[in-house]
Amino acid sequence: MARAMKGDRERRRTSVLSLQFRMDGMSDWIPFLWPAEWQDSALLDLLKGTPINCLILKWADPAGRQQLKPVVGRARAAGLALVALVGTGADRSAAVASAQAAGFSAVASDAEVQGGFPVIWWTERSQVPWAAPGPVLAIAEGVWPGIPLREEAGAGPTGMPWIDSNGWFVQLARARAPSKTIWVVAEPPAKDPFLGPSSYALAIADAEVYGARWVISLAERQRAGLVTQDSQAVDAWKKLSGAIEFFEAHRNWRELRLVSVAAVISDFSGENEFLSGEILNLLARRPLAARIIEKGRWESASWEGLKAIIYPDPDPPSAELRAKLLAFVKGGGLLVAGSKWPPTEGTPANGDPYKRYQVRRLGKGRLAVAKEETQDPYEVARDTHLLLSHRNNPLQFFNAASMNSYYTITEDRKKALVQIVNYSMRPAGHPVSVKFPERYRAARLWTLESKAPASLEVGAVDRGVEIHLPPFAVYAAIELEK
Amino acid sequence: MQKDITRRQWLSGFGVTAASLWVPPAGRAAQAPTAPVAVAKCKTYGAELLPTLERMFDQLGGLGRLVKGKTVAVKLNLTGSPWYRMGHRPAELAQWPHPRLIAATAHLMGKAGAERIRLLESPWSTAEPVEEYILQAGWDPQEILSAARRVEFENTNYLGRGREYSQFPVPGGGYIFKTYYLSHSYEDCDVFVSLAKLKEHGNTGVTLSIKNCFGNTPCTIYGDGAGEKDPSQFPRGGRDMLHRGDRQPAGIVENDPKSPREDGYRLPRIIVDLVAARPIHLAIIDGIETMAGGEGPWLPRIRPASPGVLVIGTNCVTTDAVSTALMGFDAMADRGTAPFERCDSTLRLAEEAGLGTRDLKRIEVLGTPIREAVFKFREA
Repeated sequence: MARAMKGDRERRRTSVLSLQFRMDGMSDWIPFLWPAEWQDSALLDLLKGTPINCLILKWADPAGRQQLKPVVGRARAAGLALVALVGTGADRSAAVASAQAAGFSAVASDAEVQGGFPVIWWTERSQVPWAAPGPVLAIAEGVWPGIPLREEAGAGPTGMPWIDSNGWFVQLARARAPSKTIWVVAEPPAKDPFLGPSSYALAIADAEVYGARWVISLAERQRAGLVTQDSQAVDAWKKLSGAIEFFEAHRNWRELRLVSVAAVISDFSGENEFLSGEILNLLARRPLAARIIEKGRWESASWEGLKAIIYPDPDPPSAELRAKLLAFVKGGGLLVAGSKWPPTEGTPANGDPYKRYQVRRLGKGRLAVAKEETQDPYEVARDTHLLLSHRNNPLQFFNAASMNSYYTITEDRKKALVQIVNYSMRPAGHPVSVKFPERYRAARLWTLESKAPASLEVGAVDRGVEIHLPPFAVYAAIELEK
Repeated sequence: MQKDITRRQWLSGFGVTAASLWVPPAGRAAQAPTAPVAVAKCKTYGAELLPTLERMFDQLGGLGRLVKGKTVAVKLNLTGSPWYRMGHRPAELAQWPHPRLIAATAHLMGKAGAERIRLLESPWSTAEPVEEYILQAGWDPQEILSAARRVEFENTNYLGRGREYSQFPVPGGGYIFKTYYLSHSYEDCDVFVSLAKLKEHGNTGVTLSIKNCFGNTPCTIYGDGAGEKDPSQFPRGGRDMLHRGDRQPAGIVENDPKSPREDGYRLPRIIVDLVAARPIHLAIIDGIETMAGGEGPWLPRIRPASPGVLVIGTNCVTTDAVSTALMGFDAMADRGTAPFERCDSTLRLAEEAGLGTRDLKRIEVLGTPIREAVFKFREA
């Protein structure tokens, strides 16, 4: 009996070690959602010379599994990692067993699977098991990045177009699961008239800039075009591959720290998920990128450099967090809170121009409490920016209405990086300028096509520097040095 | 609306009130008043700016005569979004008047004894403070606020600090509307100044001191987001209803809803109505660095222009007529002729409303003669 138990423990240990071994390297996988109709293994030749090293195969359908066997065999022989995207319900077990038997490396699933097989959690935003074992989380309902064709798209109250981006959610995911690699699953819309060679580069940039990977997936036209070697499809494939190579060559950029003067503290879940998430999204558009502080982890989060904190959740903070937030205000910070923030001391102060807040001066800072319970995330972002003042902007863009940016620095603050994603996928009518309230001495420009950076002129302006960029279609990065 | 003392000064040389001069159309143009216009070359916004400006005010009889002890409201010309640039050129070198010109003007007004200087603008689609708006253009509002004692900004695109909108009836009934409803800021002042850019304009031919006053209108009443019957609380969008007349402003019906729904017809008339209802005492035109081909970076075929000239006058029509001539156009031109290819001439309509003459033969130009400072915008 005892011997049997020891044997079980040994087997479990071996199994765990084996699982660990198989999970090592998963973070380096560059995933491609293999088209189900690509049953000709010769199509794997498309991957030659590209950084793609992982195929995700839709493995739920038994007939489909059978048809893909030649692809699986050749992909294994080529050393590609294989992930089986298994279905739900009763079919899942069969799909998992089949994947194991076929020598797959892992399964992608929205639920646990039996058998000690490595799992990539593949779930909708609201279902992500942040603490689940495994090094990769796949967010299964990412938006297709771009400027949507909705009627209201061009007439937002900011005068700037609405942008569909996964950037804010990637940042939230990285904050909630800092040790994991995030995959964004966003399949090209079937009827997007603007879907072209640059669209795939945009999808990659929209994930990579913020530290995630886009699960490469191709539109029907692109898939068909590659089979027939259509020149436009081949061009798009090369651009896609080039974009991945670019970000692989600059993976160290992911280690840089976000420059932010504002933060959002929330549990980012349940009923608070929409408001806190959209606030992050809309702050980023201004651009006033916010640091993400999970309510349950506030003690370990850095508050350094913050000038404003938004606490949008209706439920009050713990006594400790409340004390910390009030200390932040008394020290000169701005706290923007929902209407249920418990009454506090202080003296009335000038409010926001839209009169949505009761503003009180407390110590050297201000506390702004919403007058109404219902909060519009656009208004929260706008009002916070106004209460904070544009004077505190870490950077300022000109002619960048169709763009989002991500501004990061090294720990010693001597070097910085601004990555800019252009969701219009064409050069702006007038070229972009960026102003920094910092004295950077040197600047270099990277684009997705760059093998080497180009020098940029750094112009001194009042209280800072300004940099003028040449036109670019999808992506530009400015490396800065003090 | 106008304080008595200001009216006396106005009639004695610092402009005219339309009410006092509204006569039948046939006689209006010939009787339209005149007033001198100062023109000076000024190549940069550097050290030469302040003395040049001071000299021009002196040529017009001295700023103190107009502003001493008064509350002065200055309508700025901050059109379009603050982050919009023509190429890499900052807004102040293209579509907006330069902040140093604004600061220098405020400084000289303060020096001349102005009691309070209020800088007004209706920034596009927002109720945010003007200070926040110009910060987004890369300006430092403090440099303007500290130029003189009691300088302040107010956003006039909504009710702002006022309790109600002020009524401005148009003398004679107006071309498009009988009455305009504006921010209290346009009433709570003794002296009204239009500080504009020397530019062309797609709908009115030229953007000068008269066109600048299109922005007096609050978008809560005249904007895309205005209520049908009552003003909205906050502004949203532009002023398409004024451009195209596709709907009526909040609670207001225009004189003739069957008049042409064409912005080349409507805009020149609306802006003449506005300056008739809210007269301009002092027109300042920034033509040092600007743009040719239109009023903002959103237009095609625009290009940088460096006329290197300042124009100041106490009558908005004479000042704009001289400015139009300095741009290389005929101030007497009308629809179909540059710069009014697609619109009626604001200058003619203003002249016919009795606001001032556009006839250069009747306008005294002080300082630099037009021929020595002319900068042909269509050749830029």
